[in-house]
Amino acid sequence: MRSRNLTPGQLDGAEPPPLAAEVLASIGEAVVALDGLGACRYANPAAVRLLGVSGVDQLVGRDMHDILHARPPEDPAAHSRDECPIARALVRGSATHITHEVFRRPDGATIDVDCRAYPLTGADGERMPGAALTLVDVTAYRKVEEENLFRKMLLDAQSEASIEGILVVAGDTKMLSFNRRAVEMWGVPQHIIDARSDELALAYVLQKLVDPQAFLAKVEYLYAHPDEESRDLIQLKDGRTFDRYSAPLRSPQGVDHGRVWFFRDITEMKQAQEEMAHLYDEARRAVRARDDFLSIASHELRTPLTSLQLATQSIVRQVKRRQTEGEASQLPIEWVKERIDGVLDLVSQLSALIDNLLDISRLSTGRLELATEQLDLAELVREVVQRHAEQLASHGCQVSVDAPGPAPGSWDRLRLAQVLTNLLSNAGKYGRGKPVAVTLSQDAGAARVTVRDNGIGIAPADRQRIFERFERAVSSSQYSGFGLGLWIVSEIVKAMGGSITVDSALGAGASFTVTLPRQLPSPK
Amino acid sequence: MTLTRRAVLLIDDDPTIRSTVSRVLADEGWEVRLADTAQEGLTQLAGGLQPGLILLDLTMPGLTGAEFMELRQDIPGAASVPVYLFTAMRGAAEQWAALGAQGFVPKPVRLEQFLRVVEQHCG
Repeated sequence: MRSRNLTPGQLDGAEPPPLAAEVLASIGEAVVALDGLGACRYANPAAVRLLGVSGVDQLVGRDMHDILHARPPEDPAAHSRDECPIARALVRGSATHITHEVFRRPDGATIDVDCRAYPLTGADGERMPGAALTLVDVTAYRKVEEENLFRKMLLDAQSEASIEGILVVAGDTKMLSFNRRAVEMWGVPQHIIDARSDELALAYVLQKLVDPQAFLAKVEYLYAHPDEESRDLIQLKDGRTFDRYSAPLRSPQGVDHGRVWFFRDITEMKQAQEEMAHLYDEARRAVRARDDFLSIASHELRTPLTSLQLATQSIVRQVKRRQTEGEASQLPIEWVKERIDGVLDLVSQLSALIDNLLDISRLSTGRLELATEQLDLAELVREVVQRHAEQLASHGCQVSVDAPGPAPGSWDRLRLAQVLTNLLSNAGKYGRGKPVAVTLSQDAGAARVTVRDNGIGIAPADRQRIFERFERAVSSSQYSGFGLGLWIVSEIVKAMGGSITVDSALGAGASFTVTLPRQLPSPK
Repeated sequence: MTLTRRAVLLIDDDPTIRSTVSRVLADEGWEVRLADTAQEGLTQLAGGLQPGLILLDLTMPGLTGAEFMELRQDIPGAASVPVYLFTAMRGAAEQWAALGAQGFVPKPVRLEQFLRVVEQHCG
């Protein structure tokens, strides 16, 4: 290495040889030559423009490190002289390249500069003292680059913030990328994320699906048809449902970059939809039941009304007839009494029906009030059975009572009588011509009344339903009634803290057992 | 004239309807036969009963009124007996002809109207 200063004819006086001078004056890249101490010896016109000085004389002789790196000391990008790339080229003789140098011009404007520093070598290839610098203004590139970085950051943030799991499979490379949501949704293990292998990911996903074959067929189809979009619902073994959408990933120029998969967990939405459909069905069923009830109720009220109207008009007719025939044909007092009794019976039947209707309203709104008193259930059972013996006999039912007493407890007398009446009335209605047995048993805490008929019985499927409002196990074209008797019974029994059960089989009669605690449960 | 009077056959599962109608008609001097099921009505007809009028409820346990209308065709002499539906069902006004009945008596009914039907067929 020759240790001498620049020789004339090379860069002496900052004048390169004629051809080199023309080349250097023509190019857009700034070129600066430094002496062995780092002072500027030459700058081409592009360098004068880039460094923002008025002429080459403002550069020549000045320390280049000072020019390029003159910054306030607090600037974190400031180089010390030792770290300066120029110094490295000068002292160590190694070329350096700094892709991003911020340069502050004398007028205060800053530009981004791509800076290369080369140790000087002579024509013979020998190292010479000094260095050459090229400087390129990359401010515009930097801006684009920054914008791109910002866009990518936005896209990444958007993808991470998405409630959809996003999985991208880049075409040939099969390079995978997931967003965090996709990893959470599928529970993708770390080794698959690290491996970025679409094969591993697919195998992992498949074992989570209810129908892996269908999914696999879809995936294979889509990879064979890269232009197609597709969407469907996939069912996971753990009960979740994902809405799956897949679309080709293409540049605006139409270059295929692979495929993107979106997964949205719609389990809750689907459950809500199902719940809504269920509620809608229930509401429709309730409306239908109410309509049925109204039509049955009007039918049921018309039947005793028919008897009442015929019976009273018949009495009036007979009275009128006797009036025109005179004193001689007075109506026998027994006849009048019998007819009036008949009318009163019909009136009680009607009022019982109407009471039932009012009960529905009271029970439906939870306004059932119990008037409890100390009473003997055995006595009450015998009383109610006796009261209905005639009606049961009209259905051809012989009724037997086995109620060894006393069975003391604190109950609502009228409501209990209503429970027994409804059960006996059903026994007569559905057990025509067959015996009915009423039994009472008790233990320390509760009393139990069973009403057993030997009628048409209840199919297992209907055994719960019959206690619902407006429900009945048989067609209303065959059996009249509101379809409310057992519902009323069960509501009253529940209000008394008791329970009702049924034991029956089709054609083998039915046995209803009401269990009543001796004391009302204390209100909460 | 009384000698030519024919009976009314009332087929109805409701005991109070049966007892009321039989009392009312008996007071007017009509003979009433009662059946609490359609099957029982068919049995009486098959046994040779020739009423002037059959009053038929539609909703009954066992055979319904409509089934009764079908089955009575097989009983000699029964098919020609006029049948009136005696029902609280709203659709009876449109239904009776299709079922092969001669008419219908609504529930409830005014006594005069009721007796007019009986008079017309049994008198």
